[in-house]
Amino acid sequence: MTFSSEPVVSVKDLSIYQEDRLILDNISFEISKGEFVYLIGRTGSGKSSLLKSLYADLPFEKGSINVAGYDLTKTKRAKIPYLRRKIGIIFQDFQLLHDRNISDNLLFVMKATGWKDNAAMKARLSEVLMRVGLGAASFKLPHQLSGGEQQRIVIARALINEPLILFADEPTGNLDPEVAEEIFNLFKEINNSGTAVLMATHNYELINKFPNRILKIKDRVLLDSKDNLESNSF
Amino acid sequence: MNKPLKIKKRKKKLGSYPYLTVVFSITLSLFVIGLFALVFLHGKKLSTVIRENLELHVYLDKNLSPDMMDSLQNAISSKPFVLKKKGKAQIEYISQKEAAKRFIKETGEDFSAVLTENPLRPSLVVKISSKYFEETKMKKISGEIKSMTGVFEVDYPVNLIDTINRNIKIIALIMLSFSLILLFATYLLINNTIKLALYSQRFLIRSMQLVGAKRSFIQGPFLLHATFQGFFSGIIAAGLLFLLQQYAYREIPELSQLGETKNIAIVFGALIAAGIFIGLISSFRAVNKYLKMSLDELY
Repeated sequence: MTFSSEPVVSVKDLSIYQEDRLILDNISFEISKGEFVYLIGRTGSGKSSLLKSLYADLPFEKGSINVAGYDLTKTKRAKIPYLRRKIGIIFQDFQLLHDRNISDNLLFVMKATGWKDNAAMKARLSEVLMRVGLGAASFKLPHQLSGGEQQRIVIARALINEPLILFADEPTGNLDPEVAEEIFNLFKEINNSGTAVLMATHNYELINKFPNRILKIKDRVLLDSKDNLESNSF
Repeated sequence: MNKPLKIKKRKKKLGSYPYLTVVFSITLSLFVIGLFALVFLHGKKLSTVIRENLELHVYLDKNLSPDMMDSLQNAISSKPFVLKKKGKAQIEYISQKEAAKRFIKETGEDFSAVLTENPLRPSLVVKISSKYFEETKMKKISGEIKSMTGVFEVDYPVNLIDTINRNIKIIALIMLSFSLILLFATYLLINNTIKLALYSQRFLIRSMQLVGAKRSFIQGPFLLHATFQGFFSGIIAAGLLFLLQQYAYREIPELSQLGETKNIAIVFGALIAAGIFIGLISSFRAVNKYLKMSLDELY
C-alpha cells in the first residue's frame, strides 16, 4: 500500500447545472485522506447534486473533479466502475435488495465488483458485518431488520471494497435521534480507522455534538469552515 | 408449537424477467413471419412450375423428310430458350399418326371414317425456359422458329403469359410489403416486450452500477437470457410451422410437390437465427437505456 499526501477529493472551479439552472457556481475544495467533513445547506441547495458529481453520476459543465486518483474530466465511462470500487456510496434511494438475505446482498455486490474467491468473500462478509456490529444478521431478510440495522448493512455494503472515502447523503434522515447517534458513531469509528467521510446532513444536533469541518452550500457558492473560522457563518 | 410459516420468495436473479411472455411474443412473431416465408416459397415454386410448363407448338410441313426433320429438331434444341433438364432439351415430336390418336382420344370423334387423308400436321412440342416467360420474348422466339425451313406455324398461349406475369408481380409486391411491415412490427413488439420486462429490473441495474459493477457484468446475464429466449422461440416457431406444413401436405397432397426441403430448412434456420438476433439487439438496447439513465429518470 502506498501512502501519499494527495487529497482523496479535489474539486476546482466546479459549476454544476440542473437542466438550464446553475446550482453550484465555481466552487473549489479538497478533502484529505481520513478527514471527516459535513456537507450542509438547504434542501435543494445542490448537496445531492454535488455528491452525485463526485461519484460520477451527474456530469458537470465546468471545472475539474479528482476523486481517489481519478480525474473525472478525463475518466472514460468504462473506467467509472473502478472509481466506484474505491469509494462507498450511502444514500436513501440506494436500498438493499429486498428479495434476498443480508449475506446474499453483500455477496452479490462482491461478485459484481470482481470478487472470485469464495473463501475470501465469506471472510470479508463476516468482517464487514462484524464491523457494523451485525455479525449474526447474515441470514435475515432486510425487512426483518430495524431501520437502524438496515442502515448499518448499507454501510457494511459500502465498506466491502475498502473505500478511500464514504459519500453519505442524509444517512440518519429516517432514524430516531438515538439510532441516528449510533449510526453516526459507526461513521466515526470507520473514519478513525482511516476512511475519509463526506456526509450531507441536516442533523445540526449531531454536528454540534461532534464538531468537524463543514462545507456549506449557500446561494450557489461553497463556504468552508476551514477558511471561515467564525462559526456564526455556519 | 406452531410450525413457522415458510414463505418461499423467488429471488429476482439478474437478467431474469417474465420468461414466458417474452418467449410467447417472439414465437408468435417468428411464426407469422415464417408462415409468410413458406407461403412465398411455395408460391414461387408454383410460378416456376407454371412458367416451365409453357409449351410452344411448332407445326411442321407434312412432307418433311426424316433428315430435314432431324436437322430442324437439332437446330431448335440448340437454342438457349429451350428448357433443358439434365442437359436434355425438352422437345417432344408428335407424328401425324400420334396427333390423330391424341385428337380422337380428346374429342372422341374419329375423322378417319369421313376423311381419307389425315389433316393434322406433325409437330414439335417445345418447352420454354422460365427466363423467357414474357410476351415480347415469346414473340421473338416464335418468329425465329417460324422462319426455319419446314416450319408451317408456331402457336403458344398468348394471353395466358401476360395474365400470369401480371398476377405474379402483384402477389409478390403485396407479399413483400406485408413482410416488411411485419418484420418491423415484430421488431417493435419484441423490443417493447423486453423493454417492459427489464423495467422491473431497473433498480437492480442501478444498484450494480453504484457499487462499481462493470457494464459487461450487468449486460451479460440479460444478453445470455435473451439469446436463449430467441433460440427457444425460433425452435418453437419452426416446430409449429413444420407441423402446420405436414398437415397442409396431408390435406392437399399436390402442395407437397411445391415444397423444396432445402429452402424450407433454410427458412427454419433463419427463424432461429432471427430470434437470437432480435432478442440480443432488443435486450442490448433496453439494458443500455437503463444503464444511461439517471436516478430521476428511473423513477
